[in-house]
Amino acid sequence: MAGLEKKVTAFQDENLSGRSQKLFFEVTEEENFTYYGNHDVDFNKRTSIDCEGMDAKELNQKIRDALKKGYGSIVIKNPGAKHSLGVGILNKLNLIFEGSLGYFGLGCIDGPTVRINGRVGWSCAENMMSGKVVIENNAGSCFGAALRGGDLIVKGDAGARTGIDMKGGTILVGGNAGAYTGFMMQRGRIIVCGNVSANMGDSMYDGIIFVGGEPKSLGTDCIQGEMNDHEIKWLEQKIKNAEIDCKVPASKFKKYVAGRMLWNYDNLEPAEKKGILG
Amino acid sequence: MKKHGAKILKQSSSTPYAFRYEFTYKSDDLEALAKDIETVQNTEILSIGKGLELIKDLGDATKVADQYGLNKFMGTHGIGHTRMATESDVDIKSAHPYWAFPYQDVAVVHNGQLTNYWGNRRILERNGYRFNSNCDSEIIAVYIADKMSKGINLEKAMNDSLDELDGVFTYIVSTKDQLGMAKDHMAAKPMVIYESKDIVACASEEVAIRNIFPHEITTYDPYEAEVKVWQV
Repeated sequence: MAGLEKKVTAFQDENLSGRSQKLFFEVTEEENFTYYGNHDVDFNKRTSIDCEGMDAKELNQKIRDALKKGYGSIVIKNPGAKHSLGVGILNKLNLIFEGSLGYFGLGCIDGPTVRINGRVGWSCAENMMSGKVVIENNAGSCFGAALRGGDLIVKGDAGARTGIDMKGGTILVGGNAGAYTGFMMQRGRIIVCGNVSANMGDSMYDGIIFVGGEPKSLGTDCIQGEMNDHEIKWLEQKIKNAEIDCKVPASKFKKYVAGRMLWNYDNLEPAEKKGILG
Repeated sequence: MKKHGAKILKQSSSTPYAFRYEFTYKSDDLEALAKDIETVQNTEILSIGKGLELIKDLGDATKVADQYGLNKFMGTHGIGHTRMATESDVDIKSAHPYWAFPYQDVAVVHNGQLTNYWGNRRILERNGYRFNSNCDSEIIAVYIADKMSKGINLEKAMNDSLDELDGVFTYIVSTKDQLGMAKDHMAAKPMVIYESKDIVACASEEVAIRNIFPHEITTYDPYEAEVKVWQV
């Protein structure tokens, strides 16, 4: 027994350095039995926060405080198109914005279900890991940049470079999308019910872009692919789930994929290959 | 001034170095008049016109607006800009909006960077235009003024600029009775537009427009290579 006690002491005394290490590996802290910043919430517990006169930092802290108290449904009033609202939420949460967001709204989120009754500015839901974001109005440029997972839905139009560098998840655009949509995308799916501007899928490595209308022009190494029945079914269900009123039937969508002409990975070392694709 | 039949009607000054004159003139050659005014030592004209008035100064928007009493200013349309200096000095002449000496009533604010500035500037200089600063944004004002002095309308001039000016840009032009915006082929720079029955508002960020409209509004981003002109 004496030996075991000694072992435990040694574990606690372990000298970890670096900011993240200190945050994540404080063994005495209760919250470390779950993910960092994750709290048990009750979706029936509802609260609202008025954003009037508040800056992004204050609001984001208020959301965190509410999560700690176990609120699972939060309504944000008067967001006033401010920047960086609702970023870094790593929880299951029903979040409703009663208004528009500015740049970089909902960046780096993991888990919440968000509804925005307005529009969003540049780089909404950048680097989202999972969850669902629904925007009732239009979205700005770089919509869902570097998206890694989850569903990102805009019922109106999206701006230029929608889904730039995306690595997973699904982006659904109810209206049109701007130039360079799917620029350098590596994985995931983009669905655009309307038309797409010039240079769609430029330098895409992988992933699929479904277009209901017409792309103005295709970028480097983006080619049209063939739809199969499985994809049509998936598309139909996805659009239905997103509650998008799409005039084009799923079977009439066009599919665009990477031509794989830019794939030079075989010349790389396996380790480098893993780094690029992972 | 007498040579041109000019008569000063009103004179005011908001700062020790900025003067505003209202005057009438009889001469046909406004350029000669402008040049003669600038023969007065240490004088530089920021703008001459029948409809627009330009204000440039250093400091944040609130400070400059207070200094020049902008909140009391009445008019049909206005443009403004706070510059983050990258290409040229931080001084009054490099501040936006830009005017094209001596073309009347044109003002431009620009977000972005033009990559064929020097080449275009030399061409325009050979055609007799004068540049007051080394800031790339100034070329847009001179370019538009050059086109309009040849009888090309604002919308066409702005459409031409999309192909003839290289780089990334979103700019707004104001003339006596028109307001226009243009965005480059890459849509690299932001712009948000709100249009209603009686008002048009454009800004880089929606939050700026929301200072005027505290309630929820429907706005949109123009797409790449888009030109819009509104008539006052």
